[in-house]
Amino acid sequence: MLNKFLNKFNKKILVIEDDPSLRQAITDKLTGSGFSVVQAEDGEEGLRFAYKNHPRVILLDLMLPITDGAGVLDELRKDEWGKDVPVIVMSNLLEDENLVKRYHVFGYIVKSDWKMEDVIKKVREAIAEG
Amino acid sequence: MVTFLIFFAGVFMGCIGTGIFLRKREASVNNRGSASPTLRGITIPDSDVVHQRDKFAAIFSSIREGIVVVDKGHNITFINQAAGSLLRVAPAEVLGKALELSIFLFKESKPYEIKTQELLQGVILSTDIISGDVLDRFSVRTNDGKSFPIAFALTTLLEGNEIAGAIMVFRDVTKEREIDREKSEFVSLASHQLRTPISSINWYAEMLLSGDAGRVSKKQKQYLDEIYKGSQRSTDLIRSLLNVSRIELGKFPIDPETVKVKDLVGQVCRDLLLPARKKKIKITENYAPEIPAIAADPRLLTMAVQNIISNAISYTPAGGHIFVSVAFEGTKDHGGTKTSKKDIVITVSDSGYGIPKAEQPKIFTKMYRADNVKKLKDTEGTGLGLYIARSVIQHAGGNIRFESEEGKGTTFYITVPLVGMKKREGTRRLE
Repeated sequence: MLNKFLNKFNKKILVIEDDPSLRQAITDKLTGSGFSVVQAEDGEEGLRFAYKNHPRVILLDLMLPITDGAGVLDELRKDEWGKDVPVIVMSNLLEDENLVKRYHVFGYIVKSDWKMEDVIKKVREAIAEG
Repeated sequence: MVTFLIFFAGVFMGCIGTGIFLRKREASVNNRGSASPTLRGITIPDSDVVHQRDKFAAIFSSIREGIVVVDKGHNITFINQAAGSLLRVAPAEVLGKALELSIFLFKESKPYEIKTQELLQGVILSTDIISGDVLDRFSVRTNDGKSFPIAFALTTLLEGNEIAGAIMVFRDVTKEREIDREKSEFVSLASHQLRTPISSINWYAEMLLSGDAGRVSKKQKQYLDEIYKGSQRSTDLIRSLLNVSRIELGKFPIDPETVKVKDLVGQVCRDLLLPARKKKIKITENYAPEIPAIAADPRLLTMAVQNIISNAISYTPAGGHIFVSVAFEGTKDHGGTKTSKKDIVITVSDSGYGIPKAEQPKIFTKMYRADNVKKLKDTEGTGLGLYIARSVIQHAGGNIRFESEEGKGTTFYITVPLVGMKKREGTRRLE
């Protein structure tokens, strides 16, 4: 109960993205929009930071070193906390409907087609519904 | 090589006939006594005919290309060893049998439509050459049920001025196809890789434009807009390249749903209202009332219709007019009296720049843009749109064709069979 209440003030977003330029862009945009950001460079680090920080939303790239995006989702959904955390997949691969359904992914962003502004909107939606 | 063979075979057969390959004619040649056949105007003594025959037989059996000769009735009168081993048949067994019973030639997009007879007719009813190149995507199914991609040339066989049959020269193009597939895979991979830096340019330009890093001057904004637009164009180009590679790899799925073509076309027109208004172009829609809903992949059909209509907007000067209609199209019966409805045809007619006559045969070629529109401002096409649109529609059983006159306008016709599109499994959706 208290956790749920406190979670309302949780503005932490975990960004798991291996490309430094894109990671920086999304981090700056999120920070500028009032969120606090935890950055991870690969899937394994992503999982570690997720369990440690319990972010409100996770932005997840798919093609990642060590553990890829699908691997992160697979692990995450087995965890008591991780099974419900909203995940927005950011990829330049075409939307994979199976992956979206199987891991109840909240949103699928094709990076080259999405505006930053719309990414932020999607994060806000995830928070409102999550 | 193929051209040479046809020439060679044509000259050879045209002069001394198919006799050396058929026992019946062979006998008559031998019994002719002093009558001497000529080869390209040179008189050959009879004893030499046998020698020549053996020599040619040896040459033909050593050639790696498959060679099959048929008479007017489509019956095989000669088949070389290469053809036999490619087709997995013993040459002696198929001699005298109809070609269409031994060679099951089909377009890979329509594997159940055997084309052998139709193609053969094409060179037997009139003098002609029909060729299927590596990228025309023909395959042959052999008697053991397996198939392999082929390139072929079918040529009318003339005896004097009379059509005596046809010659088919073909080869297995599995290796060439493999190289082509690797090229497409490479384009696909490279396009994906390019998306990361492009995303980076998009996002940073967007942040600068929205003042995230401080105020930007008017001039700076103008430059940033150019960067952003350039990057958007690259994004479009990459998407098109990915689609081309998916089409060429034949890996895109077709998922038909019940679609009211009229509604789909209407939606595309509404989506394109903004760019049309910007150029003060009027779009008039006209739909035949009785068009039924058909099975079609709405995504693919939308893609094609969108491409054709947005092209019409791009290549019509301001203040022009575009007519969009959906109706039936049929084929006339033999008497030409009754028309049976066969296709739904979406017609897009514009009062635009038109396509110069000389360039009309090339407009569906990849990366091709007509000269008269290359100079136009604000029409930075990739030259891939029409290629993609037509490939998609053709894969789905329809077609796209056009009529155009430079300076007057262009009319495109997208036809979709009334029976609908067939479902096809695939791993890579088009976007």
